[in-house]
Amino acid sequence: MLNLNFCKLLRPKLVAFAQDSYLDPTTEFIDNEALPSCVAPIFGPDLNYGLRRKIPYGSGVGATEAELKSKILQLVNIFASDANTDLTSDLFNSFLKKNNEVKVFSDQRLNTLASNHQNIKSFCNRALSAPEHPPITAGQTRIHQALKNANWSIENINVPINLGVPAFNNGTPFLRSGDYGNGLGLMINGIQYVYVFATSYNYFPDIEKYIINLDYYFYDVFGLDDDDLLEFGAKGDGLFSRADSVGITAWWQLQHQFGYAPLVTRCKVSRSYEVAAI
Amino acid sequence: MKIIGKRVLSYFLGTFTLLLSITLYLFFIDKVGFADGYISEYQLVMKKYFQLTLIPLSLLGIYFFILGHKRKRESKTMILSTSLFFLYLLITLIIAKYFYTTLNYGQGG
Repeated sequence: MLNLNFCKLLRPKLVAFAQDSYLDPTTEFIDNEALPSCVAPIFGPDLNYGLRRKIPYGSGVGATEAELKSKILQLVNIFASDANTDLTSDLFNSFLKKNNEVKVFSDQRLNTLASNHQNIKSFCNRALSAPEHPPITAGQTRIHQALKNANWSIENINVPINLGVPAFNNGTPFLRSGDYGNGLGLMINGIQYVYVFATSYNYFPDIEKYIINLDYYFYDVFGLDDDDLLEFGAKGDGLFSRADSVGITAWWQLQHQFGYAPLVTRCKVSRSYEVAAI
Repeated sequence: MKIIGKRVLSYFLGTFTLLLSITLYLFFIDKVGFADGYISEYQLVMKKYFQLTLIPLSLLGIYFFILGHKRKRESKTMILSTSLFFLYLLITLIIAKYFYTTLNYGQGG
């Protein structure tokens, strides 16, 4: 029996990286709690916030913070009615505390949901892409192939940086099914960055096997930019306005007109793999 | 094909085609990427595909109604338009399955 405690790395080693290809990176964010200082995600305009910005679409759905708060919370009722209502409410309430700087939102419930999500399970295996742990990303160098190319020495690997990001996008917003009924689509939907760290690794040349422990850090911004407002917002809160669109506009207004700082959502998932070194 | 069969078939296909167009719009175009704008490669391809094909599909649905309303329905026209509809369904299924297996639909990696 192999004891993983004997092969812990002195410090976690970055072994794979994914970034949303549509991202327009503008603002660096340092997460000292989870990431080493040399690694910092650079987020897009959805991380911005401010005061009294002119709304680029319509005339807004409220003039006071209280009015807008009640409208943004309608999103929780709409898109987290099936499950995780408390978690989704907690995230929204963290945002509605009116933080004066961007903070991280992490929660064990979110980690567990991510760990059990079909797309995340698939992502974890694909990031490794070891043949005995399908699915794999065929034709690409992932952690297993990078280790093989480095003659199974983890310190010498060329870190794969072209992984595709996963998303919590099962189901459809129209039916409010899947992730659009359990809050995950509303809280996160597409993940912007993934960092994969090896926390332990041992290679056994005599039996041609290695054991690796991986920590996956998933980052996204709980905030909206102008494009989100233009695509999903409402021009006003009229008779024919949809409650979800009104909620989006209220969210944008709180963030860009009333100075509510967005949050950075972080999920952590851990996996252990025993892999044939071939 | 009997006259009553052709009329009923025309109205049925017209209704089905228009309902299908609306359903596909709601599932693949409307609110895709909600709320942060993220659209997977698969969602993007399917959205573009349906943006291109839903208007012709809806026109075909309307044409079925016109055929149903006509006093005289030629079998050749009926067979051609029905074949076109089923060909569209077949192509759509093949495209959807192919891209689902080859593109990132949210699994990443």
